[in-house]
Amino acid sequence: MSPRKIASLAALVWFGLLAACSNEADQAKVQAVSATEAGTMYQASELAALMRAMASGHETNKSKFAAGEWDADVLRNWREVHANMQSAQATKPNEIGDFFREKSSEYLERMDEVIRLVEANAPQAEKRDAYNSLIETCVACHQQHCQGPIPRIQKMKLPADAATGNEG
Amino acid sequence: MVLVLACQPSGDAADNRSFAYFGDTIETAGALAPEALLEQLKTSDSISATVEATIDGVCQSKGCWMDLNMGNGQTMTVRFKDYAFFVPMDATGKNAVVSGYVKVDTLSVDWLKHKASDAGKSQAHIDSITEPRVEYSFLANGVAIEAKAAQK
Repeated sequence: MSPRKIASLAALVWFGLLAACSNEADQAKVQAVSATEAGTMYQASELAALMRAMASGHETNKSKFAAGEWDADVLRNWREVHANMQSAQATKPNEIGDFFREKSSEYLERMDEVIRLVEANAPQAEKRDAYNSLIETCVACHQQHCQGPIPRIQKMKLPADAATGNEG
Repeated sequence: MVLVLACQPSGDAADNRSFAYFGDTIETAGALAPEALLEQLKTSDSISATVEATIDGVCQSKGCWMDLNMGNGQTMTVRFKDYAFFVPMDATGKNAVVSGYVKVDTLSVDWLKHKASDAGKSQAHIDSITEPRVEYSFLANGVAIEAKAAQK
């Protein structure tokens, strides 16, 4: 290989490596700091913390419920804990009015209905519909009060094809 | 020798900053400027993108959305995927890199009123919102907010 070809090849390799490494170098020098160094974070109110826990419970159990694996003990425990939303301190207490009280009562009534159906060993389709109706009260309330979580709440509903499975 | 030299950080050209991360830890390198994002959106209604811009406003209730200054007199609302993370409520004026999905969205009157309320706007301002608005809307899976210059 001629010296000119060798020099050209070396230059090609050099520029290739520079291009490949430039992004890596840029990212490597970025330093990660804690969230508080970027500003003041929201501290969840009593109601917001409760709702996060409620959401987590619904999301964790979704696949089991969809498969027909209902647990009346879990639902009865939820009924007791979730009832605290009617007294928990909200992020914006002035926004808690008749509409919220109506929707939270509706949520608890629909929870009672799901529990009743589970205890009665009702068909999965009935339990699914009652459960989705329960979740729908969350959507309806958030449409009025805080729309941010609605897409996440919608995902908690059980799919329509979850009509089969263990009827227990 | 060549390998070692080639992969050294490029000194002043390197991104020598510090970021706080929210949601997914995203790559800040190679983020688009707002003008470049707007240019890409001329030929597509929706794209996956990483963009860097100045924060123009943040939800004052929880930090559950923020506006980015697009440099053309308009802002772009950034919301956070699955409502899974929030950003600091006093981050207005800071530089942010957001990564996710941007699309043309029709913002409903209800949402615009909710947003105005969260932004601390007056009741008169909130009442004046009567029409939906069409604008670019960004759903971010990760946000990086510049905190301070990294130590050299």
